[in-house]
This record gives sequence, structure tokens and C-alpha cells, in this order.
Amino acid sequence: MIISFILDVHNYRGGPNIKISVNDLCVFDKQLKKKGINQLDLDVNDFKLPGKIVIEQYGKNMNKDTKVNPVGGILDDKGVSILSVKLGQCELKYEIYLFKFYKQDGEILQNINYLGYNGSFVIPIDDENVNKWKQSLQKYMLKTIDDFDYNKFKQEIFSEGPNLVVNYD
Amino acid sequence: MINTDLLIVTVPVTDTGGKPLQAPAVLKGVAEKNGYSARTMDLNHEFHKLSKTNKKEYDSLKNYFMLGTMLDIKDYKLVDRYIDKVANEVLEQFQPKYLAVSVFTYLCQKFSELFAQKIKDKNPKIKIIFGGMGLQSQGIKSDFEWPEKLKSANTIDHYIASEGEVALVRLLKHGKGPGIDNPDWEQQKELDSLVYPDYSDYDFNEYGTKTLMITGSRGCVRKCSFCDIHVHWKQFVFRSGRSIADEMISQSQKYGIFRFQFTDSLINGSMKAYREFVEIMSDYNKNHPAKITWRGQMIVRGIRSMTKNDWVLTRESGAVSFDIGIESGSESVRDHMKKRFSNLDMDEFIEQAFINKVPCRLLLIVGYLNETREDFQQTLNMLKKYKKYQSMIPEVFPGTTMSILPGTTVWEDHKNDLSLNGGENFWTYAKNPTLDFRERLKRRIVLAEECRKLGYKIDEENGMKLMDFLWKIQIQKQQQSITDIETNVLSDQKYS
Repeated sequence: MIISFILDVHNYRGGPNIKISVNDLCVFDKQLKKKGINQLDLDVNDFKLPGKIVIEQYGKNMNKDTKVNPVGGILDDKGVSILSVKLGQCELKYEIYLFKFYKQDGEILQNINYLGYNGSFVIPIDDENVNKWKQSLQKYMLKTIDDFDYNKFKQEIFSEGPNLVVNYD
Repeated sequence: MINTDLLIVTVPVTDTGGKPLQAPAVLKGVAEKNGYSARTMDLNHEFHKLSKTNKKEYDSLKNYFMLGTMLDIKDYKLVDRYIDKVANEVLEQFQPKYLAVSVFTYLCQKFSELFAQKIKDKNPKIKIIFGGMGLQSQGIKSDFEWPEKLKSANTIDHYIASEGEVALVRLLKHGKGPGIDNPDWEQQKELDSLVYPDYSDYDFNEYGTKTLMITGSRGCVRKCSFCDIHVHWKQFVFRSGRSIADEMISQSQKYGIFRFQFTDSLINGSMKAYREFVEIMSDYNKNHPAKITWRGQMIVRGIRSMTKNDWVLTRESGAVSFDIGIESGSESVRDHMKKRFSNLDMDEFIEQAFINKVPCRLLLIVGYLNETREDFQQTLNMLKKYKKYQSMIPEVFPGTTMSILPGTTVWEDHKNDLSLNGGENFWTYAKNPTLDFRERLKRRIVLAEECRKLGYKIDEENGMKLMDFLWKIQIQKQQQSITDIETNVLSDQKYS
């Protein structure tokens, strides 16, 4: 199976060291030097499901690898945003925010897609069928989502095309 | 420890609204009539009881059983612990030769599979049988890939496709037959001779709603283009009105429960049987202090077909709520759907429901294939017209927007003009090109707002979230993989 990652790289001081493991087997281990969008297409033979994918950042010096201005604002960083993970034809985008990032110091971060610390971003795939698994994720997301904005949704739908006028005559 | 030939269990997760599920009682009755000892356990109900004692654990497990995913790997221990506990409790009470698991919807698959594995680990001698509509994952026309896989892995010993009453007995007697470990099930044509469900193992005090399920027919007399019921049930088969009434009366006397819910796709498919049923029940209710009530799904019939007298008898027989697939206020749209009723039929039906004080919940479909804006306006006009009957219209269900299911006639008949565009909800139709997903969402939003303005109750918090989510998926040109989020709710099921 081809597993593709679209990553947005922040390459301060050489770029992040990224290791990707599939079912505990390392399939990628490199420093990502190119700033911006990087696409990784990994041909993973015999990817047994259920299984897990781990994207790990390592070797970041938290004192040196983040460029900050005098008031603490981040100007540049060594890290990576995960924009998309594609397992065969099954692509995850919004679903990425459901997974957890386990920092090296033990702290667990949720609702993020940015790896700004040393640690592991874990995608547990607990079904043999990735499409069914994705459906489960989406259902989970919908059940737990709490920031749905009806007015924004309505505005977006009515922003294009002919308006719909109700006329009870 | 109770030795029994057969133990039949329900499994999580089905939201029954506090009602007991029917399948184990049906199968117990059939098995015992054929000389086998049988017991039942409602593991689905036991699971829901956990919500009262440990809500956090219940929510985690429910998400896992229903959705199949646990986002924190550490929580898997919770699942294993729960399955182990349930398996131990079952085996401490019973020593069955066969364990039959009623997989009500595909949302019961995860628990069923883990439970079967656990039972096999603990006692490999017990033969495990899976049955129920939940054996198929992707609609009722899909294949039996899941139970086949479990059988190959020796997690289960047998599965029964579709109806279980005859197949289960054949399996116990001969180990094989139509629909046993194969999809070639035979539809039962004669329902009157079926034994009544045996609820003797149920403690009804445990349930919030004392309601018994009852089945008067299987299949449907209509072949609505958007529905796949008629694809599954090859024929509409029904019981006589006498047989249904006898069961209601007998069961109410036996269990002291007087509320019934039909599992049928429609109760008034055969007017002859329906008329006989309401006549008997009307007479019974007039002569007994404990009145029997019932609810179910109906098709719209005009006054020539379902007469004023039928309506009076309907009320007297104990009808307290109908779900009606109105779908649209436009005859042109309904004709395309093959609903086969006119606006006059509908007016007469709703008026009679109002006169006879039988509440009707209206089911609608927004953005059907040939729906124009004029057609849509006709649906709004209909709702405005029926405002005067609002006291008997407790709720309107507009669903999401029209979706195209594989296996339905709307797909088979129009697939040359339909493009699915990556999802059941994202389709476009060459003969009505302006009706894209955005247009359907516009109509859906307007419909909900107009319903509220007119004073109708419409509960759709999850529905709107789902539509927003689908919209985002479509504009990102992603594949749609989600079609619903409430499949575990019993009242949303169209078959038992």
C-alpha cells in the first residue's frame, strides 16, 4: 500500500528530523530540509491492519531550534504540520485532529496537527478496512464536535448561486 | 449453572428507547416449540445500564462498539475488561450448546466479534451462531463478507442470513439449509402460524418503556424508488388481522403490557387484514378496562381506500402514533418516487388522522431527483396548509438531503443520467442540472426554518452538523464515507 503524507515543514536550523513507523517498523527517517509543502509517498509492503502509524520528531533542541522575538513571539521553528495522510485511496484531513501527540516528556497534546516538540503523533487504525475505519472516525468527530456554527454554515451555502425565495401565494 | 440447548443474546449497541428487543423472544418461542430448551439475555440492555453507574466508561465503550475506534490506545484495556466481564457473567449463568447472537445493525458488529472471540477462548465447545440484519455492513443489498470472515477464522460456527425462525430450527436439526452459512435464504410466506415471542426471561421492570414489539408483515406493497426494502424482501407477506389481534391480546394478558410497536415497514399494506385487525381490537378495547395501544408506520391512503369507518376503528383499536412517508408536497416528485398517492389522498389522510386524534410524524425527503424549486415550494405550501392540523403532527423529519443508495431503483433506473461525484449525497442528475448539493442544502435549510416558523417541531442538531460536515468534504473533493450518525436508534430502523 502507498501511504502518502503531505507535510508543511518549518525548516529553521536545518529542518526537523522525522521518523515514520508503520506497525513499529521504521519506513522513513530523514531530516526534512525543504521549507513548505513536502509530499512523502511511502510504499509499505504488507501493511497489516489493524495497525498503527507513528510520526515522530526527534533531536529538536527546544532552547535553540525555535526562533523567537524579544517578546516571545515565534518567528521561525523546527517542526512540521501534518496536512494530509493518505492510505491507498483513503485520505485523512479533518480527521487528523482526532489523534494525539505524545510529547517526549509525557504530556499529551490533542486537537493539533503540528509537531513542534520531540515526541510521537500516533494514528491507531483499529479496523481491517481503512474506509470503514475512516467512516468511524467521521462519526466520532460528528458526535463530539461542539463548535458547529449554523449561521456560518448557512451563509456559506447561500453565498453562491441564485437565492431561494419562499412565496406562499 | 443452567444447561440449555440454546442461549440467545442481544448485543450492544442499539438504542431501543428503553424497550426490549424482540428477536431473542421470537427465537426462544420457535426453538422451544420444536423441542429445544432456550434462554435469552439482553446484553444490549445490560450495557446501557452502565450509563447510570459509570457514564465515562459507558461513553468510551459505546463509541468503540458503535464507531469501531478508540483514539487513545490506552483505552483498549477498558474494552477487553468489559468483554471479559460480560463473557464471564454469561458463562457463570449458562452452559449452552449453542450461543445465538442477534446482530441488530452493523453497529453491533464490533461487540459481537469481540464477544464471540472471548467465548471461544473460554469455552471452545460452545457453537456460536450470528444472525440479524447487522451481518451486512453496507445496506441490505450488500454481501456477507463479515460473517464469512468470522466463520473462516473459527470465531463463529454458523451465520443465518435474514429471517431466523425456520433457519434456526433447520440449523439445530440438520446443521444446514437455505440461508445457513449462505446468502440464499428463503422468505417465509406464511406468518400466521409463527409462535408468539416468548419474553419469559425478560424482567420488564428493568425497562424504562413497557412496550412489546409485534410484526404484522414483512416487505412492502410499494416499490418506492429511493428505498431498498422491496429489494430485500422479495414479496410482501402479511398476517391476518385476527392473527395479529390474537397475539396482542394474548401477550398483553400474559405479560401485563398493553403498549405495542409494529416493526413493519407499513401496517396498512393489506387493507383487508388491517380492517380485520382494527375491528377486533376496537371491540376488545371497548370491552376491557385495560386498553391496548399501538404505533407503527403507515402508507398514505385516500378515503376511498381507508374509509371514515376504518379511521374510527383505527382510533378505537388503540392507534396512538403513525410515521408517514409523505416525502414531498409535489405530486410530480412523488410520482417519480412511485409513492402512488395524490395530494387529495394525502389531504384526506391527514384530515382523518386529525379528526380521529391519531398523531402522525411526517417524514420528508428534500431535493429528490426531479424536484424543482416550484416542487419544493409545494412542500412548503403543504406544511402551511397542514398547520391547522398541527396538534396531531408532533414532529417533522426531513432527514438530510436526498441520497442515492446502491441497490435502489432510483439508481438502477437512472444511473446513465446520474453522477455520484464521490458520495451518496453529492450526486447530480443530467435531467435536473441545477439541483446540485449546494442547491439541495439551500432547500434543506429553508425547509427547517420554515417548519419552525410554522410551529412544527423539528429536531435536527445532529442533522445540520452532518450536512455541514458533508459540505466540507464535498468542497475538498474528498470521498464521502459517512451517511448517517444515528443508525443505532431503534425507531430509525425499517425492519426487525
